[in-house]
Amino acid sequence: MATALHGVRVLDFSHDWAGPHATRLLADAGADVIKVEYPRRLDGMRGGHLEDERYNRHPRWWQLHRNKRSLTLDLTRAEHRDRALVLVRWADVVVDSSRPGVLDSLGLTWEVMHGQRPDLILLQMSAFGATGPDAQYGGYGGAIEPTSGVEAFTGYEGEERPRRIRELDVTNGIAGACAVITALVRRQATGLGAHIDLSQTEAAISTMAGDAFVAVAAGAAESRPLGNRHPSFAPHGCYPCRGDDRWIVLSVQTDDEWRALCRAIERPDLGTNPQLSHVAGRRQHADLIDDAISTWTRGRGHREAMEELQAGGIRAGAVFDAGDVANDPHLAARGWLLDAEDGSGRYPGAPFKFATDPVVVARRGPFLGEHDMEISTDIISLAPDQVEQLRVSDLGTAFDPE
Amino acid sequence: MSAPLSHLTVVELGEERGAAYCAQLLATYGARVIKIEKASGDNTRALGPFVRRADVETSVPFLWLNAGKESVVCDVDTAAGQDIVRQLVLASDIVIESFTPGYLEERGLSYDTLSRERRALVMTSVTPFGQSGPYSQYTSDEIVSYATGGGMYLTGDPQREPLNGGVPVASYSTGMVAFFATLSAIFAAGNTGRGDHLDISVQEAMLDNVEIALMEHLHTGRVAKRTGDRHNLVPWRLFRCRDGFAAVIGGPIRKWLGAIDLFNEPKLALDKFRHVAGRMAHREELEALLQPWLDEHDRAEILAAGRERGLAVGVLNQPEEVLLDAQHRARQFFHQVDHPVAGDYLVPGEPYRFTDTPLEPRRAPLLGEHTEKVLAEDLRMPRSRLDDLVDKGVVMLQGSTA
Repeated sequence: MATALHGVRVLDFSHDWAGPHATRLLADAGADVIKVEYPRRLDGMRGGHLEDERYNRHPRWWQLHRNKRSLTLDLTRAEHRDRALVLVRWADVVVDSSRPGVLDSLGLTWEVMHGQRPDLILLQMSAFGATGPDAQYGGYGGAIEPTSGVEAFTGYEGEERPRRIRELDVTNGIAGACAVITALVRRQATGLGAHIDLSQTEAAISTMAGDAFVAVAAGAAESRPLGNRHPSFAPHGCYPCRGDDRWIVLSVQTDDEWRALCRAIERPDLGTNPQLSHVAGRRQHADLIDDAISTWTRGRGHREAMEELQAGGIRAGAVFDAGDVANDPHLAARGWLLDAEDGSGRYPGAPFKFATDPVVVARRGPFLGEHDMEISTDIISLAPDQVEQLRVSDLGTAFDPE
Repeated sequence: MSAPLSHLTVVELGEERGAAYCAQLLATYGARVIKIEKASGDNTRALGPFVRRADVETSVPFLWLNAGKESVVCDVDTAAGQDIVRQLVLASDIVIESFTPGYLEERGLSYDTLSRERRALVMTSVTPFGQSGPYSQYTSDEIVSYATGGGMYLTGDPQREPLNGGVPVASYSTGMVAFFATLSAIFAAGNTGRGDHLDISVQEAMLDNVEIALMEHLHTGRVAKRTGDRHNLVPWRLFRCRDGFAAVIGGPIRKWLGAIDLFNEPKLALDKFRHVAGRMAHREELEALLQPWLDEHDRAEILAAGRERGLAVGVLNQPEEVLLDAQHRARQFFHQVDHPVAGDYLVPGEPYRFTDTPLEPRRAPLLGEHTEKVLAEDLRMPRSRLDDLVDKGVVMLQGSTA
C-alpha cells in the first residue's frame, strides 16, 4: 500500500466531485480520510434514491471515496458539533468545499478550528474564493467552466457555441490535493499550519488556461475555437477509422515528421510536394492533406493505425473510449487497473506510480455511516451505546425539493 | 513570511509540457528551480504566440511554463555537462525529468545511480505513456494524450468527430499530478530519509479526469458517449440568451422550486417537473420553457436574478471579459510581470492561496541567464574552468549565441 502520506489524517467535509477527488488522491497516497456525511442531505454523488440502499451502491461513489471512511454527523446538533471538534483536534487536514460561511455557520470557523489545533491545515475550495463580491455564491462545474472563460477555448472550428471539456471538477480536485501537500511539506519544514483559499474559478484559469490568458491579455491570442486544428502544427486533427465511431488523432510538429507521415500513409508524392514542405503551406492545403490521411485511416482499426503510425515516428493516438481503456494492452502491462483488496471489483488506477509502494484500493467507497462505530469509539471516545443507529426515516437526498 | 516551498531546490531536465508545468508550480510556491536548457533553448521558446514580437525570450507558452525558474544552458550529451548536472542534483531535493525512458541512464544520471549518493533524492519522470509497457517509447503531444487518455471521446457532439480540448487538459493535469506525487515523496522522505522515483504517465494523468465514466464501464459495461453540452441532470447546460450564452444549472437541485418564478412561466410549476427525475424525463419540454425568458435577457441580468434566487447560474464569458471581472479585480488575481525583452505582460495568479503568504509573481528566465551564477556560486567553479567550458560549448552564458 502506498505509504507516502501514512499517518496523515484528513477530515473531509467536502461533497460532490472536486473536494472528494482531492481527498481521493490523498487517500490513494496513504492518508487516513474520514468523509463526514449529513444524513438529511446526502452527498449528490450518492444519487437521488433511498430505496434498496442505492446510495451505497453507485460505482462512482465507490471510486470517488475509495480508501476513505464514512462518519455521519448532524452538525445542526450541538453534541455533534462537539464530536466534530474532537475530530478537528485529531486531524492534520480539514477539507471544505461549501460556500464561504456555511462551515462558519455551523461553528467551525478557521479561528475555532485553529484554536483547537494550532498546526491545522484548512483547505477551503469554494466556487469564487473566500473574498470579493462573488464570494457568497455557489457554483458547479457546469457554471464555473463558462463563467471562468475557460470554456470559450473549446469548440468546433468557427462555431460560436463552445463545448465543455471533461472535467474541471477533477482538475480542481487535483489542485486541491496539490494545495494540501504544499501545506504539509511546509508544515514539516516550519511547524506552521495553513489556511488555504482555493477559488475553483481561479484554479480553473490558472491550471488549465494560464498561457491562453497570457496570450489574450497580450493581444496575441489565436482565433478560437480551433476545433481539432493547431495554430503552430499541421496536419493536426482527428480522422475516421474502420468501425463505428472509431477515430485516430495525429499531430505533425516538424517538417521531418511530415515526410515521415507521408511515407507511413504511402503518399510519398505529398512528401516531395514543395507547396507542403512547410507548415504554412500545409495549413493552407489542410483539406487536401486531411483527405489523404482519412483515405489511409479509413482502412484500419484505430489501434492498428496508431501502432503503424507510431512505428513510423508519428505522434498518433487512437481516440479511446472506456472499453478501449479497460482492454488496453499497454495499461495492462503497467498493471494500471486495480483490483480492490475487499473484493469489490476493478477500479481505475492512480495517476502516479511510486517506486517504493504501489497504490492500492483497499476498499470501495464506504456505505453511509459504515465507520460510525469505530470512529466514534476509537477517536471520539464515545461509549458504544452513545453511537446512534442511522434511521432510514431521517435520510434525505440532495435531489429532494426544498 | 517566506513562500511555502522556499526550502526546496529542484533540477529540471527535459521539455515535456506537463513536466515543465510541475516545475513551474514548484517555483510558484517558492522552490528554487534550476532548468537545464540546450544551447538553442527549450523547444517551447520557438512556440507561438509571442508577446509583442517573435523572439527566443517572448514565447507565451515558455513565459508561462517557466515563470520563476533559473535557466542554465548545459549540454547533457557531453561528459562535462553530465558532471555539472550530477553535481547540481546532488545538492538538490528533486529532479523533474521528461526524457524518453532510458535517456538519463545512458548518460549515467539514472535514479539508481544518483540516489546511491543522495538517499533522500526524489526523481519524477514524466513521459507520454510512462516508463514501462509496450507504448513507453511512443511519442505524443496534447491531442494524442487527450485521445488516449479518454477525454476526447467524451468531448464534442455525438454525431460529429470527437473534439480536442481547447486548453491542454492532459498536459496540465499531468503537471499537477506530478507536483502532488513529488511533494508526497518529499513528505515521506522527511519522515524516513528515503527518496523515491515517480513514474508519471501523461495518459494515466488524463485518465484521472474520466474516472467516473471508466468506473461505470468497469462495473456496468456501459460505454459513455460524448453528448455535446448535454448533462444527465436537467436543467444543466448552456442556453442561448440575448447577448450570448448563459448556463442554467438546476442546482443545488433542491433550490429549483424556489427559483422558477424567474422564468415567468407558470407551466414550470407543474407536478411533472417538480422533482429532478421528472425534469429529466421531460428534458426537451422543460428546456423549451426556459428559453423565452432567456432570449429576452442578457447575461448580467440572468446572473444577478439567478443568484438572487440561489440558483447556480453561470454565463459564457470571453477571456477578454474575464480580465476585467470585478471579482478578479477585488482579489487582484491577474498580475503584471515585467520582463527585460518581452516588456510587461499579465499573468493569472497562483491556483490556491496561502492566506498568510501572498506570493509575488515572477518572470521566466532569459536563455542561460543563470549559467554563470549557478556554476560560479553553487558549484564554486573557477573562472578559468568556466571559460574553458564556454569555449568548448558545454555551457553557455546569457547573451552569447549558440
